Formats: sequence, structure tokens, C-alpha cells
Amino acid sequence: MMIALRRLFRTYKGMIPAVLLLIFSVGGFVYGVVPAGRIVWRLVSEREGVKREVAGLRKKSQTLGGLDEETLRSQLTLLISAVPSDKSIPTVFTTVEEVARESGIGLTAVSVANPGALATESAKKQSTQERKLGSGIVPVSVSGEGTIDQIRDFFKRAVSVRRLLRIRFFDVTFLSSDRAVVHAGLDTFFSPMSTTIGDVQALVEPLTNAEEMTLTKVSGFPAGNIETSAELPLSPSTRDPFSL
Amino acid sequence: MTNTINLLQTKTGNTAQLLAWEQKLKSASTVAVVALFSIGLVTAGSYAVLRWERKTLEETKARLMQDISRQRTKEGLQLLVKQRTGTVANVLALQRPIAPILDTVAAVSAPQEVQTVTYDEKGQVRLTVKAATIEAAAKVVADMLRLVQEKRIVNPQLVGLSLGKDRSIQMTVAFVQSK
Repeated sequence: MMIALRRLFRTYKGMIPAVLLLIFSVGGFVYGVVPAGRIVWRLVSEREGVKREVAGLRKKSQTLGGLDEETLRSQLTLLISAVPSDKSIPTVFTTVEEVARESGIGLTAVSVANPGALATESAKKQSTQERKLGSGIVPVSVSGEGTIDQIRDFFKRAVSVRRLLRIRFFDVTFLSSDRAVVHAGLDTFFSPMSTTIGDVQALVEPLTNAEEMTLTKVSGFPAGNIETSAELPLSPSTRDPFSL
Repeated sequence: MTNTINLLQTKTGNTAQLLAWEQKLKSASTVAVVALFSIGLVTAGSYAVLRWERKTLEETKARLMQDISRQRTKEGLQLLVKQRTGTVANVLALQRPIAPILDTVAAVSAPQEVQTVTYDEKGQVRLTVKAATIEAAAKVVADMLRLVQEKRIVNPQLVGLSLGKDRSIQMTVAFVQSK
């Protein structure tokens, strides 16, 4: 046995180093290069992911850097005067009275349906229209008397005041050829503020042209003597943990 | 002449073939080792570069996140402005100009003939008119048809028609004001 092995060793001794080197190389590839290659590949994929995140964060940082806090506050104040964060019943009355006074009709009754809800706003079930609009609706009933021109002016002004109103229906009964009694159902709107902001990586888009136009349109509406009762709420600063 | 016998074979029968194999194996092993070290070096280099890049990117990311966190107030305000602009735009789209309805009513009948004008939530206008004569009532219908042709109103309907004791004609018509 030993003799056979010695003979075999003597016969192939020139090949042994080469074979050992080959085995070492194959082992090196299998246990060294391939796992290392996998790690490198994983790092490449991770780098791409982090690169995208950094690009998004850089864009967000630049967008935020280009925004002026005071401008944002004034824009928000403007928007809140159009659609407050709560029902803001006093501004509803003030607006209706102001519109009636400017148009010249004499108000005989103004009433607000469900001015105070027992349930919290979040517990209240929203109507389909409210869900579609993204805001709550406060129905207001208005009765008054005036000339046809005054009533026409009332309708015209009602849909172009800062505190946004919508005329849902009306009923005009003519007392004479010129005077009439009007009963109208109006809607005013409110929308609670968000209290959380998205994830730090959530994109912040600048205002679009359409949004700028909306702001311009609202700022063109007369605010009258309506004081924005709602103080500007604190900006939401808590991040929503479920936003991503 | 030698008197010893070498019983061990000094050369095998396939020496030339073995030498050829040996050469091939040596070449193959050299190539394999060189390849192993070359690829290993490239991999190690790539790993080092990628680790460094990753570290740099993570540092940049942390810096940007810190920067964004510092501007959280602005982010919240921008978010609120965007949300509320959308809401306001929806409300503005919902508003319909109502004043032109009264202009249409004036175009259909004389003010002294109009008794009531109602506008319902579906946007339909109902007009009750008390016409002194049949001609006046016919004029109301003719005027409505004219307004349809002018595309100021759509879907005109004669809802009711009655003759009073004083021979006046009370009629109710309905239409939808064009947008």
C-alpha cells in the first residue's frame, strides 16, 4: 500500500503544486470572491437607494429653503379667512349681514343649522358632498326684503366675498313689480387643520399655477369688516408615523 | 557490462503525456491564481469605494434631514396652504353665479307679471307668472324659446297652466340656467 502510494506520488509529484493551486483558486472563488461580489452588489443596490433618498431630501431642502415663512403665514391666513378651521359662526353672521347691508336688502331672519355639534368633528359623519369637497358644510338660512336689483346684488355679492358662501336654493316672492321677499339657503364651509406632517422624506411640492390662481382669486374677494377670528394655528410639526 | 539489475522503472510509459498535462495544469493554475487575485483586488477596491461612498451619502442624508427638521414649521405651513388651497378651489368650483337667473326671469316676463321665482338644489328655476291675457302668456313661452335658441336656458318646461276667475292666466314654467 505504502509502496503504491509512494509510486503514485513520485509519478505525479510535478502536478501536485499545480493541482493544489487550482484547488486553492477554486476555493478562493467559491468562498471568497463570490460572497464578496454579492456584498459589493448589495452595496451597489443600497447606494442607489440612498442616492435616490438624498436626491429627494436635497430637492425638499431646496424647496423649503426657497419658501418664505411670512408669505406662507399670510397665504394661510388668507385661506383660513375663506374656509376657516372651525364653523366660525360669528364670521358667517358678519358676512351675511355685511353682504345684505352693501346690497341694501333688509334682513328679517338669519339662522344657522346645527351651529354646535355634540360630537367632535372627527366623530361626525360627513356627507358625500362634504367628503368630495374635503370640508364641512354649515347650512345658513337667510330671509330678507328688498327691490329686485337689491336682491340681484345680494346674490352677486354673496358668491364673491372672502368668507366663501354658496347659494344652495332661493325662493323670491314678488310683493309688487319692484319689491320682493327672498328666502335663501346658503352654505358656508369649514375644514379642520391637519395636526401632523408627513415623513421627513415626503416630498414638498411648491404651489402650482392653479393654486396660485386660487390664492389670487380669493385675495381679490372683499373681506369687508370681517376680522379673521381664527388665530393662525400652530404649524403642524409632529410627523405622522404612518405616513410612509 | 554491468552486473547489477535496476528493478525499478526509471521512466513511466506515458511520461510525455504526463509532462504535457503537467504543463497544462501549471498554466491553468497560474491563470486561476492570477485571476483570483485580480478579481479579489477589484472586488476589495470596489467594496472600499462603495463603503466610502455609502458613508458619504449617509452623512449627506443626515445633514439634509437635520436641515429639513429645522424647517419643519415651513413644511407644515406649506402643507396646510396646499391642502387648504385645494379645499378652497373645490368650494369655488361649486359656487354658481345666481344673479343671472334674475336677468333671465326679467327677459322672460314683465316684472309686474312675476309672482314667484324659485331655484332649487338641482339648479332648476321655477317661475310663476300671472299673465293678464293669452297673448301675454304666449309671449312668455315665446321668450323662453328664444332664450333656448340663444342657449341662455336649457330644458324649458310648462309645469302648470290655469285660468283665473278674472280671466287671467297663471302659469308655472321651469328651466335650467345655462352655465
